[in-house]
Amino acid sequence: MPRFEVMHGNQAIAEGAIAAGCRFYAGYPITPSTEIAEILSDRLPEVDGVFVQMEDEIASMAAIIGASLGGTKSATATSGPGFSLMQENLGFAIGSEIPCVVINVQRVGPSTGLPTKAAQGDVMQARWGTHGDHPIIALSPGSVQDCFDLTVKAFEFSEKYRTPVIVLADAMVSALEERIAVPCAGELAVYERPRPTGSPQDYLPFAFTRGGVAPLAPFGEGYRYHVTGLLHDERGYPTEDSALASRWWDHMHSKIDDNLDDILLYEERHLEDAEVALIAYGGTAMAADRAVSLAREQGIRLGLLKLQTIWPFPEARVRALARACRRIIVPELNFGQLRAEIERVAAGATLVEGINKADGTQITPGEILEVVRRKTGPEA
Amino acid sequence: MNLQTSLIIRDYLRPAMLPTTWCPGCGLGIIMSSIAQAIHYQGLRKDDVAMISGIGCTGRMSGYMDFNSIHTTHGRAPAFATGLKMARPDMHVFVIMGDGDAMSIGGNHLLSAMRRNIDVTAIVVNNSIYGLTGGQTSPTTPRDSKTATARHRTFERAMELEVLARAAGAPFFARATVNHTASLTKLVERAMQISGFALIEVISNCHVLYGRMNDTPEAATMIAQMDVQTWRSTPALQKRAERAVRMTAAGAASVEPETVDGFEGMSSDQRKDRGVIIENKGSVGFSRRYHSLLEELRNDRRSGGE
Ligand SMILES: Cc1ncc(C[n+]2csc(CCOP(=O)(O)OP(=O)(O)O)c2C)c(N)n1
Ligand code: SF4
Repeated sequence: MPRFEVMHGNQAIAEGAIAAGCRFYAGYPITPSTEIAEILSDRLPEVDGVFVQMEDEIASMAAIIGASLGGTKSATATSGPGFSLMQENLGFAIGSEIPCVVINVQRVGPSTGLPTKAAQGDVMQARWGTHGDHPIIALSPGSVQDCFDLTVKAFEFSEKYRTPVIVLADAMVSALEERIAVPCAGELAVYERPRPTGSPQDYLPFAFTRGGVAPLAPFGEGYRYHVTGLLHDERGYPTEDSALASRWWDHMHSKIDDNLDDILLYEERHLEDAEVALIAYGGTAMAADRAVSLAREQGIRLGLLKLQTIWPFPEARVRALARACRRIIVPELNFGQLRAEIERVAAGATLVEGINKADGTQITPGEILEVVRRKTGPEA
Repeated sequence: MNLQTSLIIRDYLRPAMLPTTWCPGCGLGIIMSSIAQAIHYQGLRKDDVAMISGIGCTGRMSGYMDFNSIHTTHGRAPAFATGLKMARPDMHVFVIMGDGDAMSIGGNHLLSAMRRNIDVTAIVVNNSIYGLTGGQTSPTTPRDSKTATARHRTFERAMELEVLARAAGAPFFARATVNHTASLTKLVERAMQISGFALIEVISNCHVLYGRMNDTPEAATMIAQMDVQTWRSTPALQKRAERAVRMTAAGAASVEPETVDGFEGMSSDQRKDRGVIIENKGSVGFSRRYHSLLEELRNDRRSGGE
C-alpha cells in the first residue's frame, strides 16, 4: 500500500529522485527550482548519498556526468538561465551516452525574465538546446503526482537508454501542493543500471547496437575505458571515419526510435467522441483537464491529450487524433513551441490553434473554455 | 630515458591510441611519462586511477593512458573530477589541464575546486599559448609576446597560477618544468600524498607555435631556457612564498624588475621558482570529509536501529 502525503511539486521531484535511487546531486541555486537542492542537501546524506553545491550550472552538469561514470545515479535541477549554461555538457552526456537526469523548472525568459513566474518557454531548448543533431528524452509533469512518478521514470529511461533525460517542469506544478501516493519501500520497481558481464578485454562500452545500448561499467571496477566528447568508435577511441560516424548515428537514433512504445507516456480523457481536442502538458494540462469537465457539463464534446513525454514527440498518436477531430487547441505558456510540432504532424488534417501567453499569468480553465466555445458555437 | 623506464611507461599506455597527435619535441610526452612513472612508483593499480582532462593538446593525454579516463569539455575537467571523486572516493583522480583550459575558460572551476579542496592531483601544463587551436594568446602568454591573435605583441600581463592557488587555499602547489624530469616525477609523487587539491604547474614548450613566433623555434632551445628562467626553490624563497599572496605579483599594475639573487633584471613575470611552493600536509580533502560524515550518519542509523 502506498502512503498518501501532501507535498509540493519540488518536494515530489526530490522524493521521486531518492525513490528512483539517485545518490548524487550537484546544483547551483535558482528560483523556482532551489527547493529541490535544499531538500536533497538534507535528504541525500540520510540515504548515504552526496550533495554538492557547485560553482555554476556548467560545473553542476559536469559533476553529475562524473558521478554517473562512477556508477551512481545522478541529477541536477535548475531553471532557464542555468539550463542555458548546461547545454555544452548536456551535449557531452548525450554524445558519450552517460545516464543522468536534468530537472528544469521553467520560468519566464529570455534572460532573467520573470524569475518567479511560470512559463513553458524551454520546450524547444530541451529539444535542440545543445549543438548538433541528437536524440533526447524530455518528460513534462502535469501534476504533483506526475512530479514524483515522472522523476522516477526519468531515471529509468536515462539508465535504460544511456541518455540524459530532462524533466521539464514549471512553476505551476513545482509550487503546487497536492496529496499524492508515495510507494512504500519495495513497492516501486526501480530500474538498476545493468553491468557488463563479459571480460574487460572484450568490453565495448559504446557498442553501436541497433535499438539498444551496451551496459555501462562503473569506473574503478576492472573495465578501464575512455570517454570522450569526440566522435568515437565502439571502444570510445576518437575516430574521423565517416562509415563509423554513420553507424554511430544509426545507433544513437534507433535506441530511442525503436523504443517509442516504452518511452511515450500520455493520458487521454474523453477523446473517444471528441470533436475538439486539447493537447496540453505541464501545469497547463491541469487547466485543460478542468476545461474538459466544464465543457462536458455544457454538452460540448471536448477531449484532452495530456502529454507526459514531449520529446521524442508522440507523432503517431497526434496524427491519429488530427484525423479524428475537427479541431486541436493547444494551450501553452509560450508562443506556440509545441503547437508548431503538432501542426507539422497534423499536416493539414485538422485545424490547429494555440492559446498562448508568457506574461507571468497562467492560462485558466475559463479562458480555454471560452476559446473552445467560440470555435464550436453556432457562429463558429 | 633508460630501457627500464620506457618499459614502465609502455605498460601504462593504450597502444591502439598511439601515435600521439603531439608534435615531435613537444614537452607533453615528457610530462605523460613522468605521470606514468609517479603512478608506477606509488604502486597504484590502473583500475584505481582516473585520468580526467579538458580540451587542448594537453587534453589529449587522458586518451593515451590506460586508466579510467574522461576527455571532457574545455575547462571543465575539475568539475567532472569532483563528481567522480565523490562517487568513487576510493579512486585516485588526476586532472590534466592546459593553461587556457585551467586559467581562462575553466578559471572558475579551478578556483572553486581549490577552494572546495576536492581530493585530486591536478596538473596544469603551461606552454604559454593555446596549442591545439594554433597559437592564440593564452592567460599565461608573457607580456610582449607575439601570438596568432597578437601579431603586434600582447599587452596583457600573464596570470600567475601560484597566486591563484594561494588565494583559493590549495594545500599543495609545486612548479616543475619539462627540463627537470626527475624532479617532475618526484613532485607528482609528492602531490599524490596530499589529501585535497594538489596542484602542479609544469612549464612546457610549444616550440612549434609559441617558439616559432617568438624567436625560439627549437624545442631544445626552449627547454634549455627553462633552466635559466626558473630557480630551484630555496628555504628563503619558500619562506617568502608563505605570505598570503606573493607581493611582487599582487597589485602590480606595472611590474618593475626587482633584484633577487640570480634574477637581476628579470621582471617577476619571467622569474619562477621551481619545486614545492605550498605544502599543507595536514589538509583533509572535501571528499574525505564528506565521506566521514556519511560514515557517522551510517553508524548513527545502525545504532538507532538496534
Ligand atoms: C567551449 C569551447 N571553446 C573553444 C574551444 C576551442 N579550443 C580547443 S582547445 C583550446 C585552447 C587550448 O589551449 P590550452 O588550454 O592552453 O591547451 P594546449 O592546447 O596549449 O595544451 C580552444 C580555445 C573549445 N573546444 N570549446
Ligand atoms: S602545438 Fe605545441 S603544445 Fe601542441 S603538440 Fe605541438 S608543440 Fe605541443
